[in-house]
Formats: sequence, structure tokens, C-alpha cells
Amino acid sequence: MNRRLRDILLQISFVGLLLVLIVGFLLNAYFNLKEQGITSGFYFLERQIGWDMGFAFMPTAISDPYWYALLLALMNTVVIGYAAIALATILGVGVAAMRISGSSVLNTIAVGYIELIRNVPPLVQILAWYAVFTAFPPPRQALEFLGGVLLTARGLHVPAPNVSGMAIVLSCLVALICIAGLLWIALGKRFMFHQSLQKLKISAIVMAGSLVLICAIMAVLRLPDTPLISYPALKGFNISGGITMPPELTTILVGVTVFGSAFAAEIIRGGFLSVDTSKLEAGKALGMTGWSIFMKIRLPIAIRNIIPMMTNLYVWLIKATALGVAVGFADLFNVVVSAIVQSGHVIEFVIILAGAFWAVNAGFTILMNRFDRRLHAKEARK
Amino acid sequence: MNISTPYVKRDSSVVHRPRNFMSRLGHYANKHPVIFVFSTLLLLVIIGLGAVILDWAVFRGIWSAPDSQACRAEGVGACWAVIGARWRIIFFGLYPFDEQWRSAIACAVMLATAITSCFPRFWTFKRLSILWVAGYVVFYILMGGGVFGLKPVTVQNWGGLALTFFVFGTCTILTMPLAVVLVLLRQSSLYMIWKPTQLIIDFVRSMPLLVVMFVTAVIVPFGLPDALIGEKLYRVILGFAFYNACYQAEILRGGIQSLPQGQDEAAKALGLSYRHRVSRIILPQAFKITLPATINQIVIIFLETPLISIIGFFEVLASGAAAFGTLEWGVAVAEVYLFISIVFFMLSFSLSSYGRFLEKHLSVNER
Repeated sequence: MNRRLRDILLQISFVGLLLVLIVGFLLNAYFNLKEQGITSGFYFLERQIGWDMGFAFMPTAISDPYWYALLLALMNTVVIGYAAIALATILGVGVAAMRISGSSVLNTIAVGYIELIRNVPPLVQILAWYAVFTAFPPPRQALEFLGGVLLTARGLHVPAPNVSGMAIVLSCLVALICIAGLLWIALGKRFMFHQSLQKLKISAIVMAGSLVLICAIMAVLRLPDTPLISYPALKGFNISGGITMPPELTTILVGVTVFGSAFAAEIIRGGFLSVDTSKLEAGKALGMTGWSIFMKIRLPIAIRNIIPMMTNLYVWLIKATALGVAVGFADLFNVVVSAIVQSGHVIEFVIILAGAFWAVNAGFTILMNRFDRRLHAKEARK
Repeated sequence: MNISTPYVKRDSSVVHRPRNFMSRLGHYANKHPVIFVFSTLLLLVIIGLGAVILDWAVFRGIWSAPDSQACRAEGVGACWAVIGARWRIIFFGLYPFDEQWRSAIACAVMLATAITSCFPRFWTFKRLSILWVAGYVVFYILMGGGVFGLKPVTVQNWGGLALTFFVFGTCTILTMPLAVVLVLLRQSSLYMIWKPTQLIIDFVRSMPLLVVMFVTAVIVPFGLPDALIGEKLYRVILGFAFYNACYQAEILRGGIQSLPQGQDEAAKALGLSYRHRVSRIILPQAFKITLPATINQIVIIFLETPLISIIGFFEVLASGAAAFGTLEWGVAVAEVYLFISIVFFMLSFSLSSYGRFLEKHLSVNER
């Protein structure tokens, strides 16, 4: 009885202490800000931002309300974060393959790459990449590549279909849904007892459907009276037409990708090395070919070992996009800092910032954990 | 057929190997054509790149010059003269010029403390804490001054490498006890203690470090009574340490969970108190198991210290930027950054190599 009472008191005092700290902090902040003439509340989200937020995936204007600018900034963070995750994984697989290829030359090169990337501060790397991407010639002496791609100090200019921004966002959405659908078909419970040929057919239908849908969106939303594809070309002192990837965007994307790939490579390599050799020998004894030993034994077990660590890395990479503030990329952190400077709504913006990062990363972690559990569930059933 | 040939397939590992290097290469190329072609191409690219960089950095490089005139000439390579001319601002930042010898000795003391604590001889709680407290006090007196006739220098004027070391060292030292507290709360059997702690840890871990630093530097003063606000640098270090403690707590939790359950139960059966169970049985083993991950985390702390330059501190990266910030040395941006990268790389690489050595060394001892 004595012990139980003590436990209850301990818990109450711990939670009480936390509550007192948080409430005291907020109250103090509220009064301090009121003294400075800053009102509290979230009404300001409807007001116009009054400054140019920089790069966004949708058209922006100075007259946009705050909530819209914040949403676009969140979109920048999430899209660049996810793109960097995907690219870092691909590059990481390549580097890991070099390390376990058995060739000492490739291994040495890969080790050099990994050590170099892992032992230089990420901020220095980002600044270095920014220096690289802004060192290209000005628009007048643009470097031309195959297919009308131009590279200048203002960014990478890529030909793009002449459609409205809405169409691009919608197409990306369709593509995402298509990928999610394919993953569901491959791993979902609903399709577990389907034959693989049947699964292939459904996947093909999903892919063809989304392709048709994307074409339809492009056709409907294309800008009237323009050629199908707009090529970037010099106009006056700048390049117009096509899509321009500003150097800030390229810097963050490349910087985070390269940084992540070194860590991803070590995780992937560790995952492959942790597969018990006796399992591979068992496969050999059963007369399986090298390829099928790799695909059916080594890869599935390695993936299971890799996923929890990769989840941590991925969350880290999403957060690393906040380094955009160093080069002026309009990620969520950067926009929130500017918004605080402009509007003075300190506490509200920090709550929004923290809430958004928490939601993005917690959502991502939950998704990855489900994926992980599903893989392990399969292992347990067999 | 030779009578001495046994009637079994030859073991592939004792296959005859050509002695000549070229024929061995040919043999390899025959066996693994894809890897051979790929690595040859990669090697050629790296050699080409290396030659270009070597030419730029060494052969055409300008090693010393009184001013940047020589660096502005056509066809000139790396301008290393900037390091010779501006090394004081890179290493010491805004620290008063006449007192910079103190900053240099302070850096050396910090390095010496760190290196000394790498020897197994010092690996007891008592020795490590005495060593670090002593090193720290010397560092602080040297940097801050005010006693022994040293001119006082306020924290705002600290800068360069000394500030980087100070932030890194303080943060690392604070991280460990904070992480222990967090992991003990997290492992508590009481729901209303471990659940809020878990929420806090997960929440902090989902924030970018920059956000944590920004909040502690700029936002926290709004919510604190004036008496508690304190120096901005110390607040940022505290925030930095708490952020890392959340990571370190999760690392330690993994270590504690990998201990056999019987360890704790046996200690309980022997009638040991909670304090002794934790300090004598659980934590020492957890720290030993998680040593590689912990050193990894320390390397990460080191590599993340330059982020304080974004919050407005004059650590080595920011003072590097000041080194080429003048009109005169504006040509040498890449050289300064390269130099700072090399400094960071050497320190970080030796730290992570030490971690790998330790991992191997300890696992050998285990067997």
C-alpha cells in the first residue's frame, strides 16, 4: 500500500512538474509579448505575407495569405525531403554494392567516398555545393546539353510541357497514388493469396490507368495556343520557358542526397553482411542459382535488418532540408523564420513549425514501422 | 592422366594463380568483366580528377604572398596565401588580438584532455570526471580571464576553433548525464512517467537541430523570467545537449534492452537497491554495448557544431567566412572552406577511427 501511494505521488508530481513548466512558459511568453504589443492567436494566418517567399511548386505572390505560404513551404520541405530520400537510397545501394563487390579497387573508392562525406560537416558540404551550382556561367553563355537542357548560374533549365502548375501537381499526385497502389498490391494483405501473374496484371492495369489519367490531365489543362513542349531559351538577360530548378533547390537536393547516401551505404552493407552465411549455404545445397539465392534469401533478410535503421536515417534526411536556411532555400524553417521576423508572432509560428515537423516525421515513422511489421509478419507465418 | 591427381574436384581456392601482375589482371578481367570495366573507368575518372585538383592546388597554387595581387593573375591555381594571411581570424575569430595566445593554449588543453581520455587507463568514472573538470577549468580560465592577471574576455568575443571546441566539449559532457536521466525515466515502470518521457523524446527527435537551436536562442527568452534567461551561448548549448541527449537516450535504451533480463532480476534477488542496480549492473553494461553507437553520436555532435554559426555565433566556419569577407581576399572562398573542411575532417576522422579501433579492441577482449 505504501509503495502504491508512493508510485502515484511520483507520477502526479512528474506530470505536474511538466505541466507547470509548459504552462508557466506559455503564460510568461504571452504576457511578455503582450507588453511588446504583439497580439496572440492564429487570426494572422489570413493576412497577406507581404514578401516574396522564393521557390515554390505553385505560383506565389506577395498577396498570398500566411497559411498558403506556410503550406507551400511545407510542400517544399516534404517534396525535397522525399526526393532526397529516394535518391540517397539509390546512390547508397550503388556505393554499398561497390563495397561488397569483392573488388579491392571499388571497395577502396567507396570507403574513400563514405569517409569523406561522413567526416565533413553537412553545413560545409551544403555551402560547397552551393558554390558549385552558382559557379556556372551567366545565362548568356549557358551550357547546353542534349535535349535542350540549359545550365547556368541561375539554375538548371529543363524543357517541360506547356501546362498550368495545377496540372503538374495533379500529375504528381496521380503518380504517387499509382506508386502507393503498386506497393499495396505487392505487399498488401488483400492481395496475399493472388497468383503472381494475376498481381502483375493488376499492376499493369494500375500503371496504364494512371498514365492515361496523367495524359488526360495534361491535355485538359494545357495552356491554349502554345506548342506542346516549351524549351528554355535566352530572352533578354534571363532564360525563359521550361522549368527552372534554382541553384538553392539543386544544392539542397544534391547535398542531402550525397550526405544521406554515405550513411545509407553503410547501413545497407551492414544489412547484407548480417545475413547468416549458413542460410546462403543452405540455398546452395538446395541447388539454387546465385541469382535466386540473392533474390529469395539474401535480399529479403537484408531488407528486414535494414529497415529500422533506414527509418532513422530517412527522418534525419527530411530534417536535414532545414539546412536550406544557409543558402536561402524556402523550406519550412526558412519561411517560418522570415515570417517571425516580419510578423512578430513568435509562439504561434513555433507551434506551427514544431507541429508540422512532428506530424511529417511521426507519420513517416508510423508508415515505415507498419511496413517493417508487415515484412516480419510474413516471416513469422512461413 | 597423372596418377597423383586425386579423384575429387579440385578445391577452387587452391586453383593455380598466375604470378605476373598483368596476367593476374587479365585473369580477373575474364572472371568479373563488369566489375573490371566499371572499376577501370571509375579509376580513370578519379585519376583525372585528382590530377586536375593536384595541378590546381599544388603546382599552380600560390603558397605565400603579401597580398592577394598574385592570386588575381591569370592561370593561377589555389590561393593558399589567404591562410597564411588570415589564419588568426579563422582560428580565433573576434578574440582580442593580443590575447590570442590564450585561445591557442586553451584549444591545446581541450585537445590534450580529449586525447588523454582516450586511454583505457583513464576509464573510471572518477578519473574521467577529474580529468575533464580540470581540463575544463583551465580552458575556461584561459578563455574568460579575469583571474591571475588575465584580461577578462566576454563570451561574445570568443570565436573560431576555441568556440567550436567549447561548444562541442560542453555539449558532449552535458549530453551523457542528461541521457542517463532520460533513459531512466523512459524505462520507468510507472505509466505516467515513461509515457510523457517517450512523447518528449520522440517529439524532440522529430525536430531539426536548427529548430531546437533557434528556439533556445530566440524564442525561449520570451517564456523565461528575466533572472533565468542567461547568456545566449549557454542556452543554445543546453538546447543542443538536450537534443543529443534524446538521441543518446534511445541508443542507451537499445543497449539496456539487449541485456539479458536475468541481470536485473539477479541483482534484485541479491537485494540491491535501485540505485546500485542501475549504477553497478545496468548502466555500465549498457554503455559498453552501445560504445560504437555512442562514439558515432559524439562524431555527429562534432559535425553539427558549425550549425551555431547560423544562429549567429562566430565559430570556425563563420570566422572562415570573415577571413575572405574582406575585399582583398574575396577571391579565396573555396580555399578557406577547403582548409576548414580539412581541419574538420582530420579531427572527425581521427575520432571515428578511434571508435572503430575501440569496437574491435573491445570485441577481442570479450572473446
